[in-house]
Amino acid sequence: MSKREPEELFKQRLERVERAIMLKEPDRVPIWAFCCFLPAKYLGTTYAKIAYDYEEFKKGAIKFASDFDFDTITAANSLDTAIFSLALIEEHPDIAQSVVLITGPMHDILQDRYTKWPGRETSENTYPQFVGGKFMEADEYGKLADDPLTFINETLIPRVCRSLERPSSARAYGTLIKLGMEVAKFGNVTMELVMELRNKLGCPSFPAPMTEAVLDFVGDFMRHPTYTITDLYRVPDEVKSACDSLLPLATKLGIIGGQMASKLKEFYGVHIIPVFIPLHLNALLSPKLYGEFYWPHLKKMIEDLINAGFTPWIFFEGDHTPHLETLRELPKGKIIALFERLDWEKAADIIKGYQCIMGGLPGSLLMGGTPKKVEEHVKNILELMMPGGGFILASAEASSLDFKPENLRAAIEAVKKYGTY
Amino acid sequence: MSPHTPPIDWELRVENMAVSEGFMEVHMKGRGRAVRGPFDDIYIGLFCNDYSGGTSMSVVEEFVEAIADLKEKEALELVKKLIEQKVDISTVLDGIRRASDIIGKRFEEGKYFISDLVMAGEILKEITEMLKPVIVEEKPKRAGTVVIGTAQGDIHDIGKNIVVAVLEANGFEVIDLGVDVSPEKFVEAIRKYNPQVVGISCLITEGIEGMKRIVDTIKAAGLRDKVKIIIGGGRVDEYACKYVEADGWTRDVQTGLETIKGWVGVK
Repeated sequence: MSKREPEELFKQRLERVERAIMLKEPDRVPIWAFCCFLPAKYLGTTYAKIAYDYEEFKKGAIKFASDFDFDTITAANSLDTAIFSLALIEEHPDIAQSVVLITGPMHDILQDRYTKWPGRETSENTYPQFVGGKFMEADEYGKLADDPLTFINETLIPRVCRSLERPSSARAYGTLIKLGMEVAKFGNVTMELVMELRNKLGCPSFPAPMTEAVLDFVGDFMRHPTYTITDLYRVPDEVKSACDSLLPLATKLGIIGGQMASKLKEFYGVHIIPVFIPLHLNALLSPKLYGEFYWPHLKKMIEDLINAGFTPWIFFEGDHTPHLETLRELPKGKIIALFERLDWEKAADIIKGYQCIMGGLPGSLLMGGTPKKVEEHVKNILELMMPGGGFILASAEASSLDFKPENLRAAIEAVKKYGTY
Repeated sequence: MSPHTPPIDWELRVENMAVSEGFMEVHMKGRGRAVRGPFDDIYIGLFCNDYSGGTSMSVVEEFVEAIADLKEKEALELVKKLIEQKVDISTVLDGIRRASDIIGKRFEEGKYFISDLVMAGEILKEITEMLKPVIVEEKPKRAGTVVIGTAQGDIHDIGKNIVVAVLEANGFEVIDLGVDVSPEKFVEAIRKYNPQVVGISCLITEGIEGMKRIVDTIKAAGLRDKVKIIIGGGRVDEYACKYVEADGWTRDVQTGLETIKGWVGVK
């Protein structure tokens, strides 16, 4: 890598990424390091340390971004708890996004049953995990539909968070004060990280306020995916009316989050504000159920976010191939579609040149492959996806695991070799 | 032409069907051209091993169809009926196996999706629960024993639970070790239950590491030759299989079932 001024690098990388998002041809295909969690083993540390020690997290993210020539990085040490944000969206919209993700210390404070953390519920070197669970019975859909925020705040959260079990108790009040302090601490570290990445390494990062598809709010945080699916067969109307009630709130969470993030545009130095929407039930649902219970709400939310001036950044977890056609229903060039697994030939047919596509680097290849295999794979995927622009190479899972560094290097080199326009 | 279409040109309709004392008569009318020349009507008679009352054959068929079509209420009512009629347990289990086959095929053909498998898994689980007292009494022959669990570090078990339901539906004895299972627990279970197959499941990519540790530990315990190991989950593939040093991998329940059946020699 030539030694260039961080400022110059920053400009070049940002333009590369933002042009791809806008469906234009950049100078070459950008590489986005999407880390749900930093790669502990590569960084010579443990998942527990990254989860609980913010300095270790910051140091790790800087090291990862300086060892590899990424065009942008999304580094996290936290897990999705968007329901806590949804709970606040009417009363305290300005701070709702602050608990959209929680870190290890926040988990310790809340004692939530959603997440399991290394060095706590699991061993030091285990990846932190969201497990969710069943915190609501099928016969409670009516209450949820009638008044979602009262149900979430007064019934659901006390069931989920041991520390908030008795809402009018000293324990609960203390928990909220401690949580606020921790949120501030983590917020500062995040800001420092963004600054260091930009000023020292010339590596842009994007603010990413979040929301979820309404049926995922139900599946992730209330009923568990298994029971949510059986509910679609057993009590379909009840599920639908609960989703109808949740939709305006979930959309508002994304829009207010986008507005707050827009205030930080200069700080981040970016022009595009993505609103992150990780999908969970998408890959599990048949096209019939997807079309009836999932997509109509999601589509409306995406359209509202686009109309508000934001770029929905949708993470299609699992294999989204059966539902690809629906993405043609959205306005052209207005979203970032991050795919995990996919029939890439089909994707090239159906949505290439229509939406910005991100992904293409399977984690298992970076773990079990060889540099030669990786190069071959990247060459093939670029041949298929890069013509015309609008493609970003990323691994939706790779950076969080025990990848072989030589494989990741081979992927980056292959992009430089074959990905130039 | 689909593989199920007979290579001859015929048209048949069932005119009459009767079951009596272990013998089923089927009268069919139609016209067509069979291998040996034209025919006008046809009569089939066969002995039913499973005969145990006037309507049981068709109840079993209805039962198979209800499960395969994911009609939960119907399937549960029919299983109750079959138990009441004291239909031979192996006939009922065979029905469940056939239903799970149909579901698996529909999945392979792209007609069913994971949501359908989740629902099917729930129905199979409910049916298995209802049959448990009967099974304990009659002890039907087992297709084989499978020890299964999610890899240490991974606590996602939707996929594993579907596999357990389908394996049980197919007559396997399944020792379900649950989630976040340590290599030592796997080794202990192999010693205790002597399974032919070990199944390790994971959702998150990090689970692949956990799988590798399990296989390594089984190897170190000198048990690797005694079992076939299959890994499963949304993020496994041939690279993961090679890395983990498993004998097979699958992302869907039907492929996994076929692999396991092949290993234990069940058709």
